[in-house]
Amino acid sequence: MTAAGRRRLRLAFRDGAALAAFASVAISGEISGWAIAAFAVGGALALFDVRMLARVPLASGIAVTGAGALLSAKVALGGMDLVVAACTFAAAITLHRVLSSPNARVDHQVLLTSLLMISGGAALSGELLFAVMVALFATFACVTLALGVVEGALPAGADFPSAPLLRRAGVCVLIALGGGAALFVVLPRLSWNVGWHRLSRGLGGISGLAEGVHLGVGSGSIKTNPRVVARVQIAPDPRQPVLHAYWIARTYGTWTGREWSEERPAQPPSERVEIRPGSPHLVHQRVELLPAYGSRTAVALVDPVAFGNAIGFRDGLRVPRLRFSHLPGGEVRLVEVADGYAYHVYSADPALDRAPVGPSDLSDADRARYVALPPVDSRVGQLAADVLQGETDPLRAAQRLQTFLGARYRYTLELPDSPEDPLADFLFERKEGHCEYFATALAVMLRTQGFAARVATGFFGGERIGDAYVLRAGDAHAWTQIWVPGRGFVNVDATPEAGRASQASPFAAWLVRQYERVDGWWRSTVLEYSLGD
Amino acid sequence: MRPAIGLDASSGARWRRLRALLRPPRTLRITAAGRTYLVLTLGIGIAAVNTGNNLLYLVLGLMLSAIVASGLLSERCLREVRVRRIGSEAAFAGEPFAFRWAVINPRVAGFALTFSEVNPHLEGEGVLAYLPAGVETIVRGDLLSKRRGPHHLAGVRITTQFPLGLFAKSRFFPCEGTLLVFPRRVPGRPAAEGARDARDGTASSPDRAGGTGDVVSLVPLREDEDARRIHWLKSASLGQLVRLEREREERHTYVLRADAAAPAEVLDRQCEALAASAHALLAAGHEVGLDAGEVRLRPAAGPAQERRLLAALARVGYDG
Repeated sequence: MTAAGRRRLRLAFRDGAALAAFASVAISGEISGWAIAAFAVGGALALFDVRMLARVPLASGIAVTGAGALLSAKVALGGMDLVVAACTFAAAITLHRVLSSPNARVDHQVLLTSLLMISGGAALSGELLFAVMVALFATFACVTLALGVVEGALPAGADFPSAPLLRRAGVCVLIALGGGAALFVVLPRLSWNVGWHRLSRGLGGISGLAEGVHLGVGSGSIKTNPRVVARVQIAPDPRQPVLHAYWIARTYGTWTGREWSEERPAQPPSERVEIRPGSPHLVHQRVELLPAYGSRTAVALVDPVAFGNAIGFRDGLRVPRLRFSHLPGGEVRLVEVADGYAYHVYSADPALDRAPVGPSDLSDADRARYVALPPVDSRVGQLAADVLQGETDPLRAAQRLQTFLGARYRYTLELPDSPEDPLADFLFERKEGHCEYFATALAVMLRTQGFAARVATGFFGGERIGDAYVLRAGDAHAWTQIWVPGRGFVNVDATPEAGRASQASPFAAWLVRQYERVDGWWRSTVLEYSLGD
Repeated sequence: MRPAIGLDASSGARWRRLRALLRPPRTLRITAAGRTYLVLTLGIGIAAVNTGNNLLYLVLGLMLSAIVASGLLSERCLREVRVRRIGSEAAFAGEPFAFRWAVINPRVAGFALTFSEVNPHLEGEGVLAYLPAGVETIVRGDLLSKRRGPHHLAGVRITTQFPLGLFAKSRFFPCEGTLLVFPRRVPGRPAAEGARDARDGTASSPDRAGGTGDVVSLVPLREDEDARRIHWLKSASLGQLVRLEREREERHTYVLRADAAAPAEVLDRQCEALAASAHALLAAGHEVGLDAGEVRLRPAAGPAQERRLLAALARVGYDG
């Protein structure tokens, strides 16, 4: 390999190491957007060997110093976390060095400041991607250093066979990574707990649990998102690879003609919420809502009986003893704001619990609310009456309409622009839609015939990965609940079966499943590792 | 410092053997980058212990294992290396000279190897970026000795910073030898008149008539001339005594003298001056010898004599 080629290779590895180190911090979600953008642009320029700061070393040095002063001031004023500021400053120095004239000394500076970023990433992030970035950094840094050491021993301009060197550097990487894992296991754990950071906000929330269900707004693209938003451990363990279960989050009783909503007056918060009296056959769930969930509404298998023992993770810190607020309509919401939550919940076992679970009938006010309708297209009531043929039993009526809708209407996520009356458009024009259309159509048709019904949202499914079931963003679902005297609200789902679970592409779902497996291993083996394990 | 002077030979050998026994098989020096790396490792270790954050433990483990990897791979570069000293053609004090080693690593390749001789008077090193496995390679280094003399070479030190440049690991290869460093080269000076050998006689006297070169002519013998020069055959045919006239030669014989008992620094300067004189005299065709107490050299001419003289001057004050 020629001297020029060797130099390019070394710098590419060096800059790759810097980018990996920065990514290890950036995935924590704590670094500001401008810093990410600046590093991305600078890193790309460096990979193309554009060292734009080589001509203005003094001015750029002053600029970096100024950035350091600004960050210090921000920390002093309480506007920024010290670790985040330190990582940002390390990133600024790294970028400055990367875009400067390269030599052996600059290489060392880049790698050392990158190492500082890695350390910051360890303090700020708990993502599995952090491990990937650290492994990449270790690989690139080892190769860079090995190339630099040999290059320093070569006469200027001399050629050199790089293959043996790269092989030996590869061995170095393997020893470093393997040894790192071994040392990680055996290093004694002592904790002085002067201060710590852990668990990041990650890449933000996406689950799409909104305050209401809006027909004609959005295309339902959330159904194609395979990202995991919750993990649930269930006891007794169902031992099934896939749970075709309903996980309830919210219910909506008010239909305005375009959207479902629920008035939710504040309730006194408490650490434990009991929805209804206990039952001998309960299913225990430990639910972990990941930062990607993006909401404070607790989810549980239908029918939830009691929630409690909630903790949260906020700014990397564990927040114990969180409180719940029980809202009308059955929603249970966590009061304190956090990035992620974990709590315990008991639900009635649908297979064993046949006992009456609700009052014999609704109060007049509730009944009036669950049958109330705004002016709707007269064809809706007519269609419902035609299908029901005078059926008076609420559950059988609901099942008839469910069968009708499931058979005559098609599931799709490809929806045109919002029509004037989305429900009438769905029922009489387009005859295809996603779960919110099916749930709304069923609830409104039931109400037109005097049955009390409402729409529930949450998730449908549950895929077993490791010892837990995961819920994906694409498992978000809406269905109908019909009031059955003596049994309470019973789930009726008019959405065709194929459209209920996640609509993510099989490959994307497979990828996420593999990632989730490794991530589960990462959390149990690395993040929560102790010598006692 | 003149190690051989005033030191009992047997006790010196014992001391060297003792030092060889106490010498660690490998020595490790931390580079500037390595120092920063160690400080950072210590900082991350403290942070990990303080917080109990497993990711910091992971980074700490990685950094520590990188040190271990560095040690293992540098050892692999040095463990089976075999080196032999080729040496130098000529070494003069105060100026760099080429020095060569032959090195081979039978089974594995070596990287970034630095070669040096273990002697306090020698500076400089040879560098080899890549040593292919199983191939004997000649390494050239530019060494420098500030002092003349027979320098004892205890062995060769091979150092490598491979693979990470954080530490410089050295291995000592025992290989006894001597490097003779000639006196420093200084501008030539005329030889002192006193250095001319009194035993020259007429054969090499500058006052003699004629020389011992090629025949130039036949000339009548004057009264005071040496009868041994008479060409008897021509004298008989001519009827008068004639002698051979040969090219006159200016070869003289000098014996340079040094005071071996003089203080070291004085003796060094003296040897440098004598070496310069010898060089000038030999270049002019004279014969030059040396008398420096224990070190004596018969007068002779030519480049080989200059080398013998330089070697003798290098030893003056060190032998005995």
